[in-house]
Amino acid sequence: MPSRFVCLALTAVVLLSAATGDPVVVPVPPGWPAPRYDQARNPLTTAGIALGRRLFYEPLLSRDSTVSCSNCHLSFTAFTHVDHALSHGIADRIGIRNAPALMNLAWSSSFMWDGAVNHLDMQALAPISNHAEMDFDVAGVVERLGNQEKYRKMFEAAFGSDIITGERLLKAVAQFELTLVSANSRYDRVTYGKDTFTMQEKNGYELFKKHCNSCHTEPLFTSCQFENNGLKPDTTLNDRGRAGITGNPADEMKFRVPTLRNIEISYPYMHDGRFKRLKDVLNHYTSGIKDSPTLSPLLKDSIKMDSNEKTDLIAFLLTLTDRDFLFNPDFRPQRDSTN
Amino acid sequence: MKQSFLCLLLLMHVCLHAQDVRVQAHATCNGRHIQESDTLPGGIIPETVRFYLTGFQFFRNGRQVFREENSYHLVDREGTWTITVPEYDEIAFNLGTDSLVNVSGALGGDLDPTKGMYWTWNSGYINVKLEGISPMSKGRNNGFGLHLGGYMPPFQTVYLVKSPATATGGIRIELDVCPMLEKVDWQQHHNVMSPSAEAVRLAKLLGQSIRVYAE
Repeated sequence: MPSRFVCLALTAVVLLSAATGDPVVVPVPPGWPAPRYDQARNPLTTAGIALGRRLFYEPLLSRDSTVSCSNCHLSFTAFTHVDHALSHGIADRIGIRNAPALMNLAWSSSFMWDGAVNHLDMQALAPISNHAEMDFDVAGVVERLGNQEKYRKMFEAAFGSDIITGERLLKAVAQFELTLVSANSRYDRVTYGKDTFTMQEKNGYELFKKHCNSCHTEPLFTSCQFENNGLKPDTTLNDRGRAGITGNPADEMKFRVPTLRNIEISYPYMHDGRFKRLKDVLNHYTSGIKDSPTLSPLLKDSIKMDSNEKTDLIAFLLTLTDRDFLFNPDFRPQRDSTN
Repeated sequence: MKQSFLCLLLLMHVCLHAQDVRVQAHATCNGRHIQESDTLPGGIIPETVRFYLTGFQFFRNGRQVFREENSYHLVDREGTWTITVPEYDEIAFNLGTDSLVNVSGALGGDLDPTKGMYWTWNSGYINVKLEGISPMSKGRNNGFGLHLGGYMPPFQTVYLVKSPATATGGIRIELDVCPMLEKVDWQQHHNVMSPSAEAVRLAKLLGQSIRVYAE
């Protein structure tokens, strides 16, 4: 029943999003912590979510009007850039990191692989401005949108007047992103007693709790912390991770622990997309860890798993796939007639 | 009952003595207002001089008598606004933004990210933005860009200014940028674009060069 609750709540969000300003609350799945995002400062409405969704698919956000958020964050692949180790922005410019999957953002305490962004509202500023992504600026976006009656109407519906500001733009995008809740995988249904694991999945879950849960903590499957997981530095990128933001040598090569939800389809893996298959990831943890002063203490002794155990663990990881999330029509671009 | 009466008296006193105080803020160089096409000592041409003055508080006999709500003023070389306050003999404000607004998500007015005073690659406000050309700068085409910000320890750049000010018609606040510009390391740090020890050093020099005049 609880998983059905989440599903129904999400459906309600969607059904209401016809064209009204009705208030919406991000559904909190049973057993989950309270969201970190303060919705009192940005109350969600159907009109605000609809505007954010429109903006998410809007190429006008990029300098040459060719690239939208969705170019690197595709709904069908848990909002990551599937098959791209590093994402490309306008003019085929290649960035330095793998586009992270987007889900359950209301529970995130920081954003980007290095935690550079401290609030969901402000996250969109980074790709809008980054040279290798949209290479534009938020003031330019606001000006462009202000020239379109369609947007002036949508801002009016969402915020009560047709004045377009950076604050409203960012809050609308955040509203849409807050609705991207993934909480109806088989794992969730098993947790709520609505489904059962196979023997293999059950073994995999036990292995997960033994080896992975400290960092990829349930139910979000991330601790939201920064860790050095022993990847060999890539000298073509020289990415210092968290240390690039804090300047603190203790943060060298630390990256934000990503969620494992929908991991099956959000390949390739790691901040630089170096691993194509889950098998490669597990092999890294059992035999590829590079020691360094900032290596996570939990990885100092390499994880021991034989190939059968790895297969079982992968079987468990596949239960984290949430098809309701991946194929939710409300996360795709709107048809013009619905607006 | 007695307390309510005293409260009422206090309120009446405040209302009767409330006054409109005109606050004028200017960027200056050695006491002179910087104009648009000025060349400063050392041949420095300042193209952008923008800074936040925030958190205005007014005191009388050492006690706070007024605190401006939503007190965030972006000054673009110069700025003027009015605050209605009771009698006071001292004011306090910040050069730069407090840590709370740096972690509060999208904000409007002078804090709107379209003002170009919010970092994009990293979260936080640029408290002071000084850009231009300096013949001493080793930057490209002698350019320089000092984006001074940072709200987290150890690189906090907000600077509290407290000054006696007699209750008259207005307050003039002058941010003298030249004592700081004299101390810029033009070889190494002609561009400061992140919270850093250098940003903290320069922000402090600027904070120390603020002068408050009652008019």
